[in-house]
Formats: sequence, C-alpha cells, structure tokens
Amino acid sequence: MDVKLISWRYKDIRGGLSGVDVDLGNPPSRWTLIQMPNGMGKTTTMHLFRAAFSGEHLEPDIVKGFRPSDSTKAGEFELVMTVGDQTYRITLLLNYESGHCTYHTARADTQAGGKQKGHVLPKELKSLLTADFCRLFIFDGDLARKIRDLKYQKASDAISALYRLDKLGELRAQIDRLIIEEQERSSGTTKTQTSQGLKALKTRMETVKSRLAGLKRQERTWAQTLSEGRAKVQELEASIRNHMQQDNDFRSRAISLEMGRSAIDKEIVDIAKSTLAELRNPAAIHPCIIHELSELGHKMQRLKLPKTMSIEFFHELADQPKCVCGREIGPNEKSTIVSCAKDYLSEDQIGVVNAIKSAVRQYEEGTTTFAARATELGERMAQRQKLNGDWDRLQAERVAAGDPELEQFKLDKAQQEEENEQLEAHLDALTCTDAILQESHGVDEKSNIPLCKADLRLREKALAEATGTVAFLRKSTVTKELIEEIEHRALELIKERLQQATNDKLKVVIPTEAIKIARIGGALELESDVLGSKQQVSEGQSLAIAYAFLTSLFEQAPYRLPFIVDSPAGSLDIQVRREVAELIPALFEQMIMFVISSEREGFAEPFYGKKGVRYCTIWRDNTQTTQTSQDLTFFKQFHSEDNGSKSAQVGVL
Amino acid sequence: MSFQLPKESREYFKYLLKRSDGGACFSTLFDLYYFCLMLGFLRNTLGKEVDLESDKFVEKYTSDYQNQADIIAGLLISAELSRKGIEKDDRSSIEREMLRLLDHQSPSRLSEEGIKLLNLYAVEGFRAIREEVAPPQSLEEFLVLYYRIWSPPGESTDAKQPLET
Repeated sequence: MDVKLISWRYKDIRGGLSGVDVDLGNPPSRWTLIQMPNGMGKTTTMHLFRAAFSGEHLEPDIVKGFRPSDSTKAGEFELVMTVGDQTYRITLLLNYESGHCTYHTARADTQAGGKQKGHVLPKELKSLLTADFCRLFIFDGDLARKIRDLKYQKASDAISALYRLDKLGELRAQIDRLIIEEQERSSGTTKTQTSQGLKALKTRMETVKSRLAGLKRQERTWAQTLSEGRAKVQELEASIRNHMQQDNDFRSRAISLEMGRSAIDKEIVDIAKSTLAELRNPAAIHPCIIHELSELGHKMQRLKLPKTMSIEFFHELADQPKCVCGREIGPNEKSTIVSCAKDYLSEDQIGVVNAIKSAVRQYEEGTTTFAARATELGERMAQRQKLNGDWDRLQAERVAAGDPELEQFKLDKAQQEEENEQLEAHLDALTCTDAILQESHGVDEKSNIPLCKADLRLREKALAEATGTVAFLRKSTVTKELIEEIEHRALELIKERLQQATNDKLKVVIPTEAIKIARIGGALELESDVLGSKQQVSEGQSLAIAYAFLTSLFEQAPYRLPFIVDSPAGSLDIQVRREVAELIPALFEQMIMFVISSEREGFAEPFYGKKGVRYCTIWRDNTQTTQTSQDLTFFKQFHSEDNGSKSAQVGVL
Repeated sequence: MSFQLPKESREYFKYLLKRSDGGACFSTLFDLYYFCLMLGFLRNTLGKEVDLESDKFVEKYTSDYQNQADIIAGLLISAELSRKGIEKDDRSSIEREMLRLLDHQSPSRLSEEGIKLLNLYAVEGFRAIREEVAPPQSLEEFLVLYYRIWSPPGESTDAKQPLET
C-alpha cells in the first residue's frame, strides 16, 4: 500500500503560517526540499504532520502553543494524502481558547457527504500509524540520538511496529484473556486446572460409577427377591385353597367363596377406576360445584364480563390528542388514563375469561353420578368384606378340624407378606425420584439410584469441564510459547537483516572509521573495527547511523510511507551530507526534506541534477506576509542566515 | 410458581399411589392434589403456606386434567370472590380479581398468585380429609369416604348449600 503526501495548508498557525498552501502535485514529486528559515515553523509543521497522520490526542498546552497571537481564536491545518487510490483530506481544527483539537476526514469518494468527524483512515493503516510510529518517518535529529541511546527501545520498537510483530503480542494477550474466560466458565463446576486435580476427579467419578453399579445390583437383587416373595404368597394362597378343597365338606364352600371374591374384586376395581375418571371433572363431584359454576356464569353474563374495553384501548386512547368525548387529552389526563388502564384486562386476558365463561355456562343445575357410584362401591366393599369374613371363618373351621399344615401356610403367608412389604419399602427408597419422598426416606446419592445418577452426571460434567480446561490451558501455553518463539525469531531475523543492510550503508556513509552495528538490541549497539565497543560517536555519525538504519528498515517494509525529515543533514560534515544525500533518495518513493539555507551545501546540491525534485521556499517578506515559491533558482539563491536576517532575505529577493 | 403438594399428603395417600395387587389407584400425584383442592374450595378457606412441600411436584396440569383448566380457574375465581366477600354486583372488584388470578400465557390459565392460592386451597382440603378419615388403604375406600365428606350421612345432596349464594 502506497501512502503519499499530496499537499498541506495552514490557517492561523504560529510562525505566520496562515493562508499558506503547499502543493506537491498528484502524483507528488518523489523528492521535495522545503526551505524554511529558522522561526518559520518547521518544528510546528512536523508536529502537525505527525498529528495528521496518527490522529493522536493533542494536549491543550500543545494546541495553544500553535496560537499565532492572543487575538486568534482558532486555527486550522489540512493535509491531503493518498492511500492507494483513495484520497484523504485530514483537517485539524485547533481551538486556541479551549486547547482542543478536533479531527475531520474527507474522502474523495465521499465528498458529496462532506467531512466526517474524526480521524478516519483504513483500519490496517490506522492501527499502524501510532504517534510513536509516525516519529519513525516524520522525524528530526532527535530520533537519531534516541535510536542510538540504550535507554530507549526505539530501534526494537520501530521494528516491531513496522513489521507488525506487536500483533503477535496482542495475540498472546488475547490467549490470556481466553484462558481467563475458560477458567471463569469452568469454575462453576470445577476449579481443577492441573493434571493431579484431573486424576482426583477421575477417581471420584469412578467411585460414583462403581457405587451406582452396586446400587443397581442391589435393586436387581431386591426386585428378584420381591418377585419370588410375591410368587411365594401366591403359592401359599394356592396351597391354602387346595387344602380347603381337599376335604369334600369344605370344597364346594371354598370354591363358591373363591369365585365370589374374585368377581367382587374385579367389580370394585372397575367401579373405582371409572369413578376416578368421572370425578376428574369437578362438576361430577357434587351438585354444589355445578351450582357454583352456574352462578359464576350467570354473574358474568349479568355484569357483562369481561368488559369489551381492554387495557390496550386505554393505552391507545392516552396517545390521542382528544378523548372519545371530544375533550383534549393533556399530560394529566394521559397519566390518569394510563394509570387506570391497568384495572382493565388485556385482550388476551379477555380471551381467557371468555373461555372460562363459556366453560362454566355449560353447567346448569343438575345431579352427579358420584352418589350412585359411592353407594355402589360401598355395597361391593361390604360384600367383599362379608366374603372375606366367610373365607376366614372357613379357614378357622378347617384348622379347628385338625389341619396344622393349613395353619402353617397361613403363618408363612403372613410372614411372607410382611417381608414383601419391607422389601417394597427398601426398593422404593432405592429408586424413588421424588425429592420429598427421597427426603422422607432419608436417602442420598449413596443410597438412592436417581440421586446417585445425578451425582454421576455432575462428576462427569466436572471431569469433562476440567479435562477441557486442562487441555485448553495446555494448548494455550503451547500456542503462547510458539507465538513468543515466532515473535522472538522473527525479530532476531529482521534484526540480522537490518544489521547487515545498515552496516552495508554505513560502509558508504562513514567509510573512514568503519563503524558498524554490532547488535540491534533495544537500541543500536555499535562497534568499530579499531575501537571495539563503540558508544561515543559524533552527532553527524549518529544521524548517518540513524538514516542507514531507518532506510534499511523502511526499504523492506510492507507499507511504503513518505519520509519526512527536518534538518536531514544539519550536523553532518559537508562530505558526509553529500553521501547521505546520495544514499537516502533512492530508498524512498516519497521524501520531503525540510532544510535551512545553510544545509543546502552538500545536501541539496546532489538533488539539483535529478529529475522529479520539487523545491519549495517558504519565507516571510518585509511586511511579515508569508510567501511561497517553487522556483529552483530562487531556492538556490535564497540566502537566509540561521539568525534569519531580514535584510539578507530581502536582498536576495 | 408450580403446583405443590400439602406436606405429608404423600405418606397419607401412599396406598393409593402404588399398588401391587392389581387394584385401582391414583394415576398421578395430581389426582391426590385435585381431590384435596376440590375439598379446599368447598371449605372456602386457605391453608398455610408453611404446610406446603418445599418443592414443586409438577409444573402444569397433567393430561387427565388439561381439559379442566377453565373449570378449575372458574372455581378459583368463585372461591376467591366468596372468600373476600366481594358483592355479586361489584363488577370492578370482580374484574380486578380476574386480573389478579389469570394469566393468558400460563397453560393453567392461572397467574403465579392464582397457582399459589390453588396450592393453599389444596392444603386446606388435605387438612379436612385428614380430619375426617384415617389414611385410606385403597382407592375404593377413599372414594367412599370422600363422598361422605361432601355429603355427610343424613344430609341430602339437594340440601347441600353451595359456597356462594
């Protein structure tokens, strides 16, 4: 992606920078030399460039520092850039009274819609153009010192920012966040996040599994025993019947009683079942219920319930300007209507009431069958009781006639029935699912199958969660280590390449001392073939090293950015300047260099013979009006001492 | 709010809930609840909340009772109008009661408060049953006894006064 600076414009900015437009052409010239005398606002311009590219927040003191005079309330700086095929116009509105700087962005393709508030650039570029990063391509001599200074991490930070290695750091931070989320998610069931904890969870789960298997075995055993017990009772009953029938005197009476009992039992079951089914309709229970329902139906009918007006009607009415009676509905009336609306049923509720009304109105005064059923049941039960009494008496007679075996059968049967009853209770306790029954039986997950199953489900879930969490943590750690390794290796590899590329350039820029970068740590660590570790270099050498490093850094960068530098050769020897001027231009697709007249020598001269160079001079004339010129001859002849002698400037003009 | 049984009612009716001799018994716990509830309506008195089981036994009417939802809601309205002494011509109060007791979104037609009241009527009904009869040993025995509570011997069915007149 190519990013190009096209033009900028000042309005009411310190240094007499008002109504000044600098146009570099579109496409812009590859190299632009801007000549501005000291005091004209080069530093201010660099600051505004960085803000326009990064969209950084400017502190009020800084904004107020751009104020040209106390009477000026606001200023404006506008920068036009292209990003690929798109043109972006970034405007900084400087409020000198409040100290606020607000950004606006206009895109060529959205001009019809006007400016958009904020600093709006393509997302990828925006994330790259941090305030610190912008200092790498919009800089002055101070950067060169910091890139060399071991106190700073400028060199390393610059690499990370440009090659987006910081994204890997963000990825690691994201994994940390995911780990926290996973831990929080799983903490509801388990806090286990270690292999030992996992093993303990597995053991506990196996214990519960084994317990459940034991309980199920117990259930099978008891169910089997109960089944056998019931069969035993039936056998004993058969034995009793047989005994009763062995004697001719008793046989016919026993058979008759047996048949009678069987028939009456069946009748009772049938009547009870059908009565139960009938009574599930409340109206079948008693005439008073029918009366009750009938009364309710009549009452609703008489009172015309439910009312046809619903709560929705009043809410709609409250929103009307006038009531149905024609009176105005003001805020007070509206509030009253809405408040009273809650006394009315909603349309849905009206539907329910109507359904109830319809249901209850079908019942009129009448009789029920319950009385007849109850009488019938009572009679059958009395018959059964009588038959049972007869049966007991017959058995007693048989025993009295000398049948100890029958007596034993009866005893065995009673005992077996008691055992069966106990087993049923045990089985019920073992298998009941109802919470209240479980409580009344005093059972827990160790003695009740459904509770044990629930416990096992919890254990399984906890284990699954813990397994997931532990596995997640293990994978996360491995991933983080891999990312860290990638980050480290990538940085080292880039540093190696940069070191080699920078040293190649240094051989050209500073051939006399053979200074070279020994290592790129946080900063550039130098060494000299002659002196070994080399920490003391001249400012000129520092600048040359910084250029060499930055040019190497940017030449393989994924983003091609304009290179804007203030006083690129200020402290270099004239010969070194010439070498720097020869070296730098080829490395950048667009380079904008701010110089003062004294820097022309050595640095500007090598450009004069090149094509595609734009020369711009900005100065103040005798009337303190700021002027601009893009004439090369004027550029060459503009003579400005660093002290800014007006006479000298005027003399040239 | 879901249906809750009166405390100790399961134990009281245990022979009606499970039977291994092939005899008739309640199909669901809701049968137990229903018989208590109807008697609670007859007594037109609310039982105490403390006498309810702490846990719900079912969330909505079982299939045997789904068709009775409107009737049961009507009986609840009627019982509450009577219990609160609301005059039969007091249209606003009657509608307010309906508003309080009904919820069109609920499968039972009843609001949470309506179901809570239903539970309390069931508590009173269970208290009345227990007061009148010993724990029944069979459904047939219970049905006969239940009938006698509604229509005590010597009192004709026709003479039975409705809850509200």
